[in-house]
Amino acid sequence: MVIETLGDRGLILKFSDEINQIAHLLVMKIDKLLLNSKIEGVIEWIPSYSSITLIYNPEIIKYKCLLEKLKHFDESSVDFVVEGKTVEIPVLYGGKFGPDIEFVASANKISVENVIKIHSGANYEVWMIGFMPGFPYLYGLPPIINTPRLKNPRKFVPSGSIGIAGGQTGIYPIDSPGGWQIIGRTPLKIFDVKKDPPVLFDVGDRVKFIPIDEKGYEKLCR
Amino acid sequence: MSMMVKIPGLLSTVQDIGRFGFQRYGIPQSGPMDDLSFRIANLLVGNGKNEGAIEITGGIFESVFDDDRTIAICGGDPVATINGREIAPWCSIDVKSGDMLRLSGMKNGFRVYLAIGGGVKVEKIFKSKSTCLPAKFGGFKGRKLIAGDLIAFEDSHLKVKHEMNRVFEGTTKIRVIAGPQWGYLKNDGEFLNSRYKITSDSDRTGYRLDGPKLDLDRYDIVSEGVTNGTIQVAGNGLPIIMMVDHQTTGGYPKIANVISVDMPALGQKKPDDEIEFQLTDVDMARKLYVERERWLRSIEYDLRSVESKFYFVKVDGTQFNVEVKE
Repeated sequence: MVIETLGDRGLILKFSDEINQIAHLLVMKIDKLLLNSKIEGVIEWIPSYSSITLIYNPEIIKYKCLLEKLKHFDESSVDFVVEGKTVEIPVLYGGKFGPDIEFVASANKISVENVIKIHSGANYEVWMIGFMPGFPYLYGLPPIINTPRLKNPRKFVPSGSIGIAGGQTGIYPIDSPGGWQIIGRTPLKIFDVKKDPPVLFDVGDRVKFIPIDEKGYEKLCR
Repeated sequence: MSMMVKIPGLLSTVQDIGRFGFQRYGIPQSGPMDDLSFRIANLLVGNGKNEGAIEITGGIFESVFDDDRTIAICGGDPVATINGREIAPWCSIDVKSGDMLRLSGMKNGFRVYLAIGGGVKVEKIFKSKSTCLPAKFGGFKGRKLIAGDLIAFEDSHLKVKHEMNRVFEGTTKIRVIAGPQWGYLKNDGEFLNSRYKITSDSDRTGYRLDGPKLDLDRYDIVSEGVTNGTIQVAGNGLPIIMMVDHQTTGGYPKIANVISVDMPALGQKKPDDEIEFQLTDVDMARKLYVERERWLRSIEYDLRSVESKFYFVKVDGTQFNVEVKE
């Protein structure tokens, strides 16, 4: 673990410069240790692919004291791999809710049915939430349906849209502009300001996409 | 118990000190761009430092009160009147029901805080009254104020009388600490010895700067959490400073980070203002921060221990002003 300085109230605990599973496992372990240790002066931290950005109050804890405490963090003391919860996301693939699914299919020289089969057949893990409230960066997209971003990003992508960008897949939690290839939509509310936690999943949780038809979609909307 | 917005100006939003603990869910901190002026405005009306107030961008605003209240206007050097009579910023002001407050521009600075005794009454979302503009929640209906909005106030019978000197640093020198990817800079002198202009494409999420393009070893890294004042360099070689509504994660190199005590001065900058960067370190930044917080607490202490406090008391519908001497 390398500790980097991010201003006078931030630190980055870094496990790798690249995206890999070993680094992310360490992220999840240190996330757990931070949660359990309740260091006074630590305000919050943001787990990501291969690092954790930690925000602290420098009046309550000095930089050097915090470094000392963090250096003694022993990730081997977290012997889990406790799996996160599994969240099932029903998706209506294709049609007007998935305007780019045919492009994803043709770009990868497979059928639309196979895109659905492959996308919904894979197991995903939330590796980071960022970009906008509740936007999950999911690990586990099978390479055979990797597709580049749109050349011209859309000004409006409705909330619940499921997208692919390169080797990543994700869900738009709120209406926003966006450049991901949209292959379907979920009727579930991913981000809800009336709930705490506000997002359906946390970093480390598993996500499974379940294909549904229009009737199923309408039923879930009710 | 409220005021009616007549002219909302460029961008006026309800903000408290910010939303903490939700960045792991991608929810920005929000809160005031100049937290120092914001906190002083609250203290001047007898509130806790973190109550909900109105952040007025550009200093144009008009509202009518339907209640007797203490208000304060802090941040930069605004021009303000009540019923056409000029009033001083940076002090407690009594307004009566029917009074019209008008802010007609800034002599200096860019963001003004209108604090009201008791504070703005809006529902807290994720423990905060701050407006989150990027996701349209919090504050007043999750949006900027528009003409006709009726802004409710929390109950308050306290009437205070305070004043203090204007706190405004017009400095163009913004101090930074080297960031994780400082080493990517091929020539750090280029960053430190240049003036950068804040472009019109800047807002509460970030300041996009214009100036000499920076030469970096590489321009993309694995996305990770960023924070207020983080300076990222995008592929075009130009720096972007993360402000209070910033995205929680970023994938550009983080060459430096603005220190906490210089964020209020940065928050008072407007498009076309120029800044330059000066390198400092964590120990110095902490020393300055602790000093500032102590100073703010001493102000809070002084204001709370002034000899008299006034209260409005209503008896059988008749209002009395009661002065309590300690």
